[in-house]
Amino acid sequence: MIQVENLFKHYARVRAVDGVSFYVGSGEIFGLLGPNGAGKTTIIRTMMDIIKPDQGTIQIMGQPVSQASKARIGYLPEERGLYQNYRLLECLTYLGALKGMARADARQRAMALLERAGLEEYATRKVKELSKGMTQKAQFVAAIVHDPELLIMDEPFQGLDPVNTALLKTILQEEQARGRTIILSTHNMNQVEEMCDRILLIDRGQAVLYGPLDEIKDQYAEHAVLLECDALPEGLAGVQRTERHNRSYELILEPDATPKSILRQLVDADVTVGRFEVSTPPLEEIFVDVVGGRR
Amino acid sequence: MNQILLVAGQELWINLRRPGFILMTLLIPALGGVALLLGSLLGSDVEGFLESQFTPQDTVTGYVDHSGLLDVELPQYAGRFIPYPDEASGRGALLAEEIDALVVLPEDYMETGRVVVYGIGGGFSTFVAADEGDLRSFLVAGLLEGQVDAATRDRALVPMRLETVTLNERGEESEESAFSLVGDFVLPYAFSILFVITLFTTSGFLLQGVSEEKEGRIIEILLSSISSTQLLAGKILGLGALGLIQVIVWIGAGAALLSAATAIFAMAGIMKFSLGTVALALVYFVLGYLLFATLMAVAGSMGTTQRESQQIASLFSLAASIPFMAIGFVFTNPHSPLAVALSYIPLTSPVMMLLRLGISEVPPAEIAISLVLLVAGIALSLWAGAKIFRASLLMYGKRPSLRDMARAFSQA
Repeated sequence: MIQVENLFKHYARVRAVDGVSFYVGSGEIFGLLGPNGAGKTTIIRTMMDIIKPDQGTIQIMGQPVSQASKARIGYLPEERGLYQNYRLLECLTYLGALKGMARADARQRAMALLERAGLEEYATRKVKELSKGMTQKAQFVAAIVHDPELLIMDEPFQGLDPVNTALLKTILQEEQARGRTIILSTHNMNQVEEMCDRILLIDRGQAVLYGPLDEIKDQYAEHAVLLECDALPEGLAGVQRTERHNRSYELILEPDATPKSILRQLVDADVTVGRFEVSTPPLEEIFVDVVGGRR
Repeated sequence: MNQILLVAGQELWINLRRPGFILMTLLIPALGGVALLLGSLLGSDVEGFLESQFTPQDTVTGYVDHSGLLDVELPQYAGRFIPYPDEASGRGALLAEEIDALVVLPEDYMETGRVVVYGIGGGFSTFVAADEGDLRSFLVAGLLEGQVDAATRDRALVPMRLETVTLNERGEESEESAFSLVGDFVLPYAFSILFVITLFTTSGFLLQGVSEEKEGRIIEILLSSISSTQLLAGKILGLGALGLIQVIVWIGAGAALLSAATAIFAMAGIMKFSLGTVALALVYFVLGYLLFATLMAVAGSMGTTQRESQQIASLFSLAASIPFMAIGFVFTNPHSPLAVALSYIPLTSPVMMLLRLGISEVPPAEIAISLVLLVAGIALSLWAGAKIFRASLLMYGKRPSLRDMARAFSQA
C-alpha cells in the first residue's frame, strides 16, 4: 500500500527526517511512533504531499503521491479544526466534495457517519456550538467521509473520554475489517499494543525500531515466564530466580531452560495454573528504553 | 481545475451570505434611492439645492480702517461690511457674535497691503471667518470708488463671467447646468470610490478567510485534498466573483437610479463618462483586485492570528491609500507628475487610475504603461505570494522569518 524509501527532509540545520524507509501492507494497522519532534508529522506531511522531501521516494498504492492518490487517503492531522461558522453537515459535505465526491453522495455518507458517531442531532448545528469531544469526533468523521482506502490518523483519540475512544477504536477496527489500511500515530502505547500489527519507531528523524509488534516485543523480552498459581513448587529446574507480584510470579529462566520445560514441571507437580505466559515487556517500556538510551 | 472551481464556489456562497456583504451591497443603492426621493421632493428647487452645497454662506464682516482709504459710501455692501471706529468695539462685536469676522486695515495698508483678520473658534474657523472673495471685492470697490467710472469699477470687480460650452463628438454644443457638476464630477468620483471600496472589501474577506482557516487549524485538512496553489487560486477566483457581483449590482442600481433621475428632472445626458471608461475602470478593478487579493492572502497566511494578519495587511492597505492622501493634487491637476507617478506604481495604480478616470481623460500611453506595470506586478506577487503562502500556512504560532521566506523561494 505504501512504500517509503530513503526519505530525507531538513529544516535549517535540523534533520527532521534522516533516511527513513518503511512499507505498510494493505489491510494492516501500522503504528508510527516516536517522541515529540521525532519527525512523525514531517513524514506524514510528505506522504500527503503537503511538504516536499529533500530526497527519497514515496509510493502510495503503487504510484507516486498525486492528486488522485490524495483523494483515496483519509487524513486526520494532529493540528486540526473545522470551519467554526459552518453547519456541521455543510462542512463535512464540502470536505467530502474536495476529495472528489459528488456533493449529494458526500452529504449522504456524512449523515450516515454522524449517526454512527452519535452526532446526528448536531448535523445542522454550527461547528462552534459543539463541545470539544463532539468536535473531535466530527473531525474524525471529516477524515473518513470520502470512504478512503488508506487512513492516516495522527493522535485520533486525543482529548476523548474512554467511551468515545472505544467508539472510534471500534470504527477503525471495522474499517480494517473492510480491508482499509490504517496508519496510526499516537503516544498512547496501550492503544498501539491493542491495535497495531506492525510499528515504526522514529527518534531524531531516524528509524530505531521497525517490524511486527510481536517480533519487537519478543526481541526485547526477558527470558522469563509469568505464572499465576496457588502455590509455587520449590526447586523448579532451570529457574534462575523468582519475583513475586501480588498473586503472580515472574520466573527468570536460566539460558538453557525453556518455558515448555517449566510448564511440564508444573503439570508433573499437579499445580493448578491460573495463567502461564511468556513474559514480554510492555511497549511503553521498550519505547522508553530505546529512546531514553539514545539521549 | 474542478477543485479550484469548488473552492471558488464555496467562497462565493459563504461570503454572499455574510450580513456585512449583503448590507453593503444593498445600502449603497438604497442611499442613492433616498437621495433621489429627496431630490424629487425638493422638485424644481433641486438645482438651487445643489448650487447651495457648493456656495459659501453669507458672512457679516466688521472692519476698522486706520488707513482712511475706505471712508466712502458703498451701499452695495451695506449689511455685509460694518465699520467700527476702533478695534476694541470691533472685537466686542466679534465676541458678541454680531459679526463673523473683524478686518483691520493698518495705517500703512496702501504701502504694504497688510490686512489683519480676527475670527473666533481658532484654527481653520479663523482662517475662513472672512469670505476672501467678498473681502477682495469690498476692498477693490472702496479703493476705486470715485477714482474711475462705474463701468470700469464693475469690470475690475468682476473681470469675467465664465461661460463653459462643451462640444460633443459631432461638434454640437451642449448646455451646462448645475446638474453638469453631478454628471462631470460627483457621479464618476462616487463610482470610483465604490470600486475602491469593493476592491478592499473583497480582498479583506480573503484576508479574513485565510487567517480564519489558519487560526482554526483547517489548513492542513484542506491541503490534504488540494494544493496550496489551488486553494489560493480558488479563493481569489471566488472572492473576485463576489466583488464583481457587488459592482454589477451597484452599476445596475446606478443605471436604474439615473434613468429615474433623468425622467424626474428632465436632464438628458447627465453622465459624461463613456462605456469605454467604465470598461477600463472594470479592468483596473479586476487587476487591482488580483494584486491586493494575492497580497491579502499572503498576509493572512503569514499571521499567527487574525489580528496579526491584519497588521501585516495594513502595510499593503497603507500603500494603496496613498492616492487618497494625494487627492488634492489629483483634483487640481489630474495630470500632475505625482498623479502620473502613482498611476505607474502597481501598489497605487489601481486606486489612482480609478480616481483619475472618474474625473479626467487619461492619455492612452499612460494607461498602457500603467497596465503593463500592473500586470507585471500581479505576476510577481502571484509567483512570490504562492511560495510564501505555501511556506507560511503550516507555521502555527510562528510568523515566517525572512530566512523562512528566502527558503520558500529556493524550494520548488
